[in-house]
Amino acid sequence: MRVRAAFPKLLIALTAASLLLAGCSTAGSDTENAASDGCITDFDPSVDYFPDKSEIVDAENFSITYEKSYQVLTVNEPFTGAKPESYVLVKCGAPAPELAGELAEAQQIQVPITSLYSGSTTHLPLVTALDELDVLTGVSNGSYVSDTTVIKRIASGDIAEYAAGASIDTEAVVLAAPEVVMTGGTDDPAYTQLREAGIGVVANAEWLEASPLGRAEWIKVVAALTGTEARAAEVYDGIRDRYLDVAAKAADVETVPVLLGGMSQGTWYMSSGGSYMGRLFGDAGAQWPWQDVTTTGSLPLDFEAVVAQAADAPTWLVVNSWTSIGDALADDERYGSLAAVDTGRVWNANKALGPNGGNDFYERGVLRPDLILADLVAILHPDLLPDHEFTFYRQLPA
Amino acid sequence: MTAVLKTPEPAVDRRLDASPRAGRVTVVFVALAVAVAVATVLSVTLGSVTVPLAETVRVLSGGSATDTRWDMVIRDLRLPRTVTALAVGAALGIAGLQMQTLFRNALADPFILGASSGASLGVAVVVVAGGGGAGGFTAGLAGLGRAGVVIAAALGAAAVLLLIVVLARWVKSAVTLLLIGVMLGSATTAVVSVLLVYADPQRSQQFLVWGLGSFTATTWSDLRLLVPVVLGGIAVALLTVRALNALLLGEGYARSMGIDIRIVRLTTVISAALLAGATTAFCGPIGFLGLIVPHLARMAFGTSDHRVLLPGVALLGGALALICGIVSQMPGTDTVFPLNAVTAIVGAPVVIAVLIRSRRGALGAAL
Repeated sequence: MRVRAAFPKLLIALTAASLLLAGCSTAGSDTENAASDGCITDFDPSVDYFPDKSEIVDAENFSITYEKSYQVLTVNEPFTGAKPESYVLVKCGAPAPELAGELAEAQQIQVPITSLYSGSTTHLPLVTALDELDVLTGVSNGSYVSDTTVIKRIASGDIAEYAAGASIDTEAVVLAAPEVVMTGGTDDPAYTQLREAGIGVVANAEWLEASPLGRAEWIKVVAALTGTEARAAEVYDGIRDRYLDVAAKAADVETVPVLLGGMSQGTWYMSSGGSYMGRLFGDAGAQWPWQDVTTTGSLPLDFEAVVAQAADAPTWLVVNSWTSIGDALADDERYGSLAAVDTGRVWNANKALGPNGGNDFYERGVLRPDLILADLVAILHPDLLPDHEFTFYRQLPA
Repeated sequence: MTAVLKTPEPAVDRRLDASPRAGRVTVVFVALAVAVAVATVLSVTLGSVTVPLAETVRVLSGGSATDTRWDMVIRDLRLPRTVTALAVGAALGIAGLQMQTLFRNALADPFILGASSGASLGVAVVVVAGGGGAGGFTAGLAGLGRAGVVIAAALGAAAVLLLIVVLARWVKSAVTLLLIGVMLGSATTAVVSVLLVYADPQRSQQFLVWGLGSFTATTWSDLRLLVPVVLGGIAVALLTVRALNALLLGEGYARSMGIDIRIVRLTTVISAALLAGATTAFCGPIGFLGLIVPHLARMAFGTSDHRVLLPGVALLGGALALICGIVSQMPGTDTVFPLNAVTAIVGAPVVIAVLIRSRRGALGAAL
């Protein structure tokens, strides 16, 4: 009993010791009294240790507030229906703040972190865009990774897999003791155990963010953990500018009707106007009968409703594994009655498949809604973006 | 036959003593036929799209509607789903009746021997093995698309049921066979869950949708296979009517009537396998119908005579399946409700009522 209780504490002690060593090993010389690894060597309570502050513009599911030596990251809905969760990110080398009230119980995590376990492939582009791939030491499941650098690092053992089956290998994570495990935006009993073992567990629930830009802005969460706020702002502002620029072009022209989604066992799953994809389609100047439905998620529809209201749309946009229109007809011959199948204007967002079959649309697409939007506008309004090079979408051959 | 039923035996149920009352049986049959007819009409006329009745009639009588989309809606969507519901309802009703009689168990259903678990295994294999990108089901079984899923489900169901049939040759008691069926089902389900652990979440989602059951996925080309198989299963079932009646009075009694129990068991299992396997392959595992339809039919007809019950459960099953299908389409809205949720919501109260009745002894005796 005593051994079991002592084990996590020992780990915490070891982790803390290694952090301290990391913090003390290099002497600071720059103006903020911070070492080159970002740690404070000579703490001064009056100094603002976060000169670069992230400003959250589009994301609604997280917020960041700054104090002098620590910042508070709050995720409003860590997983569906969950209560908000706050994390106190303390600049390493600064004393742990003694907090009262709601933050008293919050996890304190030393930043910048040097090791990160990631629970979803959607985090990978955020990490790579910040040039912080060295921090990534674990991914939940490598099978669906599209990024070739990450795949190589998994093969070489630099990046561990900690949930190769569906469940988290808690013991392996505890032994590896990463500073932060980032969730994939779902709950898992293992997270409680990991927290008790002294490992920071930070929720990344970007998928609950309905706006495409909001989803991309989660790069600032990774930035808060890795101390790369300036770089994140630069990357995000670029994405945002390009997105709004393309959206503005599409807003000036007449919308065109589209057919979205497809059938599974006879039920049609349609994007609503309020969903993530729905907002992209809307911003791309598309119109479809379920655009006014503001719920997120997809709508299970009767095929006859789709036939009656959208079958004559000249363009059909899907995200699945079809490589030809023939594949669609093999799935359900009734697709043959759709106008877009006749004209051959069926587009699938599976151009960028990773070597293991994972779709980069679900990986890099999360950070790059500007690229998705540009693809969509080029499909729907080809005149607006002549010479467009498609990233994710491709037109299916017959 | 009637003589068989009238033969006094100590263990015989009172309700079996009497031959089914002709008057009541006729009335119930007429009522069921009307119910099937009404449900068929509703199924063809109700949906999210409003098609004028005159147009519907014109399409049904081989003409063309003024709006070509209505042609498609009636001919390629509503008619196939109506025929599917009728065939599946009849098939599951009959298979459920066979299993309940064979195992003398009120809770037996068409899937008790593992047909749906076997089919799930087939589909799960396609889901996991399907290469290519995210989403769709196509990549499985060499890009056969839906056909691949149907074939996989049929093969899975056939494999499990074949094993049962082989084992049935060696097993002496029906209870043992029942237990083996349940065990096989559990083992198969366990394999499915292991497979799904390694499946792409997007593809597991497809498996989940398959498990919800539906009458709307079948097309005319599916029906060209489903309907003959179901009719074949029903034909085999008809051959066993006399033996099933004898089985109601106990295996010992049936044997004394000169019935070869092993052959009856085998024929019944094969027939139920065809019926349950084919419907599951095309529509996913449809819950509850196969369990409740035989009970409802027994209550309605007031008899356990299979000569009455077999056509009875076919009609009642068809009518109930149609009604569940219509409800799941939520007429007047665009939305679809999962079929198995509807059958369960209709089915659960009925099963509870049946259980309460069986505590009073009525049902136990009827079986």
